[in-house]
Amino acid sequence: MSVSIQIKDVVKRFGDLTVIPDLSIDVQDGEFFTLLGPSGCGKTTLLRMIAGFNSIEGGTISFNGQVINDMDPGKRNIGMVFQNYAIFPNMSVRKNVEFGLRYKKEKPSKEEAAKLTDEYLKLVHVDQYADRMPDRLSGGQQQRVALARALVIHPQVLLMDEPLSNLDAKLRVEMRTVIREIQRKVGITTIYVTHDQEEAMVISDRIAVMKDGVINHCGKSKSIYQRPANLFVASFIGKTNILGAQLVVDDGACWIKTKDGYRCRIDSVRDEEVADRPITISVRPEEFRIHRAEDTDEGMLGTVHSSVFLGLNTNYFVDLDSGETVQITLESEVNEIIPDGTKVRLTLNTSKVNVFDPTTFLSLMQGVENSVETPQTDADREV
Amino acid sequence: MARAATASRKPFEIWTIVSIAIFALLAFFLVYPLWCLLKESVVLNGKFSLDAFQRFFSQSVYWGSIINSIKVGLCVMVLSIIIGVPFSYFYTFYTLKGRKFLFIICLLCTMSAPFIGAYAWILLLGNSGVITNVLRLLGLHRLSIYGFGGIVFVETMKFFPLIVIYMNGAFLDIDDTLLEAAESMGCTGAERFRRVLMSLTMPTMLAGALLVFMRSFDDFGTPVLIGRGYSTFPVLIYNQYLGENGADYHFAAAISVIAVCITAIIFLLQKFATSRFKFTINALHPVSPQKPKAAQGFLMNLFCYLVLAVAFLPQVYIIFMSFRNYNNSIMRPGYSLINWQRAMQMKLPLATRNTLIVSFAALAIILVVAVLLSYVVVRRSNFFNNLVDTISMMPYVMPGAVIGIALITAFSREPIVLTGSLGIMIIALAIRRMPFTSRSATATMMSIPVSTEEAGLSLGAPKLATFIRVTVPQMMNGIVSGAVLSFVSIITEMSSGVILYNNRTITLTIGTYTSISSGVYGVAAVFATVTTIFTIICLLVYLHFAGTENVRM
Repeated sequence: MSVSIQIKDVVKRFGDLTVIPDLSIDVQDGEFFTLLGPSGCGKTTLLRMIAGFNSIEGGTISFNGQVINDMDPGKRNIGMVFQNYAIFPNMSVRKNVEFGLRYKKEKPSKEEAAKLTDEYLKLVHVDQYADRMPDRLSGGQQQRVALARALVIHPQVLLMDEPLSNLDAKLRVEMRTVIREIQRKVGITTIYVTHDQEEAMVISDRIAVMKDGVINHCGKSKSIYQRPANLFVASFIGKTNILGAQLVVDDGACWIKTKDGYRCRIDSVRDEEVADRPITISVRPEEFRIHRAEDTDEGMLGTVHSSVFLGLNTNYFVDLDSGETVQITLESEVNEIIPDGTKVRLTLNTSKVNVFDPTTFLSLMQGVENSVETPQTDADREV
Repeated sequence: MARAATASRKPFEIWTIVSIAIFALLAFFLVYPLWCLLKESVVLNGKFSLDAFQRFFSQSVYWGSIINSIKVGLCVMVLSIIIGVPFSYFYTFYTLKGRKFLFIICLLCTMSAPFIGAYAWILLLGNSGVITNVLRLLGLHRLSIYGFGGIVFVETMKFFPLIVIYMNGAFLDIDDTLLEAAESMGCTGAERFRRVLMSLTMPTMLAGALLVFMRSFDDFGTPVLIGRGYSTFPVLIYNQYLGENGADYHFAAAISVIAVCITAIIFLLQKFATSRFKFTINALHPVSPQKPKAAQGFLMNLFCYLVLAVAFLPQVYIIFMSFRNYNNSIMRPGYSLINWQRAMQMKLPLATRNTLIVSFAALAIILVVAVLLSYVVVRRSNFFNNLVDTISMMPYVMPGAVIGIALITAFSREPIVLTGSLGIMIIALAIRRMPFTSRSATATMMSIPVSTEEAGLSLGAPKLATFIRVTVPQMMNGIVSGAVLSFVSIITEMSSGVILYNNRTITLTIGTYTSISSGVYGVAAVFATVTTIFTIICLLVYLHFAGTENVRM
């Protein structure tokens, strides 16, 4: 039995400091919903408000329409998984998982409790360690126990606070698949907090990108990556190059004109935004095409500064003649890597490039899918 | 953030009641007696009067005692550091022979009853002492254990192991890579010891130094036995209180107030000195002891074993003397159980029983209060709880004699008469040891991640159930080891007890003292031996719970 969650106009203050000014979002029943953002953006704070460990200074949080603002954490029927696992070090794995069953409204009998515990220990594949003490488990195993402990009480909501950030890289990749599979199997509404954008994209049905207590963009991974709602989202999700440019209307078509005069046609800007105006463009490293300067007259002129061979791809750092520096990712070829100091021309894959207003930083593109309203200005541009 | 985050929205929860209850206890048993003490010191025949203070500062017999105490305290402190720091350095950084043995003896020394040392040294170096007699044969007549030098010597031998234990902890907190970094920059040997090791361990050393000073300032047993006219503050207060011309509460109270002022000043000085070295270190790679070169190693071993042998000698000698034939204060040839028989007639069973009752009761009170207090201080940090915490720390700067006098002034009149009962001894000891246990409980509490409690709460467990099933078990290790050390201090407590005891509430340490003062030395040795046996049992229990390597006080 899981629920939908309605968060309406919530405010969080610590003393004089407002961490979340006014936040609203709805989470669907059974959805895997991720709060993503840099540290200090308020994502954990919001999660802890839902859990009941942080007070709510304004607005409401409801489960299935029932307001839970003043309910004790234990009464909310949530399962929580903590960043440091929070396994009780004084109890065996089995005792840890059993812990919550004792405090359920309809307390299961001893046999039922043991059966449930076994079932969930099996689900997360730690049944063979049931009688071990936690200090003899690896980080990944501890996290599995934490997951079983949270799920065994059949919560309405599963809350996970950066559950993988203490694991090593390989285990992190493995565990995120485990978590996703188990969530699907149990079908429980899940709110997941992370600062790792790749993890968020792999695991989530929907992602909310947060900054300074405000959701900047909420949508599916693909739309957030390809059509970010503003410049912050564009630069936080994946790697991107930010360039100054002009939007030019000519011959009834819309053109991007870069600082050194290179022009390329773009058709995906929203009609009402098409005008002669300064813009900021975001070009992901794979959205450039690179040509030797002697081969073509089209494109931004630059010089290869350095390159890094990464196996599948090769990264080039190019100093543009306009003074900007960009990073370009190309699939590695068997041929020689372009040597440092080579003169090159760069052209854009305009079907993928994103265009933003240089003052509000909002996207001017068609096809931005966003279930929240993105804030207008973004005073400090962290790119 | 996490701390503020757990603060409850509801003003009245179980922990609010806990804070108020602890506050009430402290107010009644600590603040109220101190208030009575202060009142007693400035009120004479129902009128405000500073006459006692005037008297104190006009006669050198009185203020001289305080000066003496400070002098002894400072000398003992400096000497303890001079012996303790190198000892601990050798111990931590080099593989000495029998490390574990050295450490256990060190612990035993700090745990010995307060004046076993003094008493044994009298037997060894007193007027008719064993060593004195040997020295006389060699033509040395001037050496004497009595007076200033003797007090300093005996107390240093007793307190320097405290510095060793403190410094061991501090040295182990130093990351080996810091030393390697210093060495790579050309800072080696004595230079490295001074610039890196000493400055990194300075806060701990100052804390240890303060503790040694307070213990010395507070020590009643040593000066009363070997002072011989060299009066110190606890002796003075005791004499005023139980003087031949009848008890002078008024004057004793005034002396107490002055003593607390002085210890408070020393405490603040230490705080100030420590605040200049504020940093935190966290050793990922603690130093591992190295094998010293042959000659170096020999000298280090020699130093450590020699010093410890001298410090531990009294305890061994006392046990030995308890079997020696005595006729009151006259030593007779031969060995037997005669002292033990006489001790059995002279309240040894009663004293043992009292000691155990008082110790266990005081320990139970301390543990419950300290654990609850540490929880509200760490997890519900607010003005009121911090105030309660500060009040509970007050006894840290209060000599035992002062607490004794304060309790007597407060609880010897109607409507509450507690004097002469075991209850008042229990209260005195609980108050005395509260700061130490509450410090270690708070430190333990801070190291417990709040998330395990939150996990408990979110799984539906009520607050108290979460505290008992999740938090307290995690505190156990830190608490138990601290509790055993507190237990030993309680067993060996002297300075407040000597003011509060009577015939029925005699304890082992007081039994030793009264036997010495009534001249039955053999019986005194028996009382002291029994005390030592208890401390050894405690040590074994302690070592069972805490590894020898991570002893912190």
